[in-house]
Amino acid sequence: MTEENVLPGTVVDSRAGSGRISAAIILGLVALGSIVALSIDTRFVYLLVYVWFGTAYGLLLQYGRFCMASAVRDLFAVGVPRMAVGMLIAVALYSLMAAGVQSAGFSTFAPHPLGWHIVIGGLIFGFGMVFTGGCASGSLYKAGEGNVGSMLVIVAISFSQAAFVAMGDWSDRFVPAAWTEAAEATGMPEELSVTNGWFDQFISGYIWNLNGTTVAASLGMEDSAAGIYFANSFLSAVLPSLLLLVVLYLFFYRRSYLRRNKIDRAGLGDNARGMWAMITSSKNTALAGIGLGIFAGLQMWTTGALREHYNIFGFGELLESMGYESGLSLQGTVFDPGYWYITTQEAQWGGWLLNKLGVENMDNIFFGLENGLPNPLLNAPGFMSIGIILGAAVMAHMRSEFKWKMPSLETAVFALVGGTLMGIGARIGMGCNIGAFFATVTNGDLSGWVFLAGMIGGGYLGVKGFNAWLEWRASREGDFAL
Amino acid sequence: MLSRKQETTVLAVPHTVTLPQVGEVAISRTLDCIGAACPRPQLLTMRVLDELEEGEMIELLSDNPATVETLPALMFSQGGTHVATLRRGDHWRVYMRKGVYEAPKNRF
Repeated sequence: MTEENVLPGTVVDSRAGSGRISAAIILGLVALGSIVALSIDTRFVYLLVYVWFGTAYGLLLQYGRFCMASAVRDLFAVGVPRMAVGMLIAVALYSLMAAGVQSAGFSTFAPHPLGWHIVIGGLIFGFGMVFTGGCASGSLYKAGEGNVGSMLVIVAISFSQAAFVAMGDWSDRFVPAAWTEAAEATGMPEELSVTNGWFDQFISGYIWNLNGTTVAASLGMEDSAAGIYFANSFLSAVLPSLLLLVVLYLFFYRRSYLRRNKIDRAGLGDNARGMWAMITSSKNTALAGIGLGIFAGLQMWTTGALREHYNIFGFGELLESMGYESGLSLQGTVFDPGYWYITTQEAQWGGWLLNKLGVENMDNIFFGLENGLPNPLLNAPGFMSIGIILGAAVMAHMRSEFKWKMPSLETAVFALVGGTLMGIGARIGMGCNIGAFFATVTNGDLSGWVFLAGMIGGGYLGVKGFNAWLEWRASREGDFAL
Repeated sequence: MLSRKQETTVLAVPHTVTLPQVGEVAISRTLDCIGAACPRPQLLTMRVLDELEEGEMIELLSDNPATVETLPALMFSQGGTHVATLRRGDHWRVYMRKGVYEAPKNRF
């Protein structure tokens, strides 16, 4: 290995480029798989769009190390705001892209119902993600880097959601009577048995009575350019991000910056330069945010164009016309968001397997009415998640960062337990750090900030718990190792 | 199947290494964090820094790119100095010094 000249504080990377062949092989396999699918039926192009955009998201997520778990945890565990800063800049930039998509009229975004469940879901999700070492998007890109522990997290998120939404009679005792009444009043078909099981009554007796809205809609500015750019982008995403950036600067960056630069009495200019130094230190994550915004917009546009071309509302109809009827919901639909989303399709993987093992889970709202349980080979958003892993693997290989990493027993247990909590939190909060936070706030839906607040609270408690665990272990083993 | 390795180990074997452009430096502690994911390496670094005197150096081994990228920011906020990061095969070696010994600009 050759050594290059290095200045203090700089990075020598003498291995760059050695993974290009592996990266090319993965991209070649994606291309080959696409050709095979198209030769079976050209209508699979609808599914392949998810694969291709997933791959692009994966490239960007790995490049920007897009991990909300690091963002929240590093703040509380070690006082480093770097990833949180990157996330917030990404939110602001992504929202401008999303506004462009909205004003062009092909946004497939729907606001989330606002209620206490969002804080609680965020809390559970945030607590779990400290133990897994990755959020929903972080675990996907880390799986692409060869991290087997992160793959276990995905498995846990998948099965815990599948089990959680299909909870049976035993869970009824935790259901408030009001939910049961409201669920009954919905007049849902008998085969859904909506008054049976906690999650069904949570959805039909509680969530369906809540309203979601965007900032533009609540200001009565819907559909106008001002409503989209000013209300949905600036007021909903850019302004809150800027305010949070100032908070991060004041609490986590200012002191170190001023000390480093030997500034005793800081004026406005010094602080502005400090802010800028903080922002530029998170460049990769910010760039990934722009890229993700552009691709998410393009994906909505492409999916919209395909829906128009095939004259369908969603992938379920296309599957039906291609002769694949198994796994469709009562409405003949399958989950098909048209933009990036993570946890729901992971729930479908686990749900499908449980279904094949004989678990009756098509009688619940989540699978039976809303999302369906398609064969994983026909699960379009599922292929987006696989695309994300593959894209991250391509980027990791190109940067020579790919390495198979086996977890220790402790890491594996944390991955499974934390992943289970993340799955439960994601279903209560109606999404993960992407679906419930990132995609909402950038589209004018303030419920995402509520989810973030819950996630930060959960992350704080998670760091406390994690530290307590490490202390306990260190005291028991009497050594320094963590 | 599972990795048997301790997640992190600390070696207190003082030795010297020659860093390109920096020259020979004395290392007080070596933190082997290969196989460990965030936040363990960061927390361990903070603990070990607590034990050291101003000016002493640590060497941290990690195969986790996210960790390696965070350490300069950690040094920034903890009042330490990130001296160098070297790639060694399938892992990185990060050299950090306790205490600020220069005013680093354009660090990130």
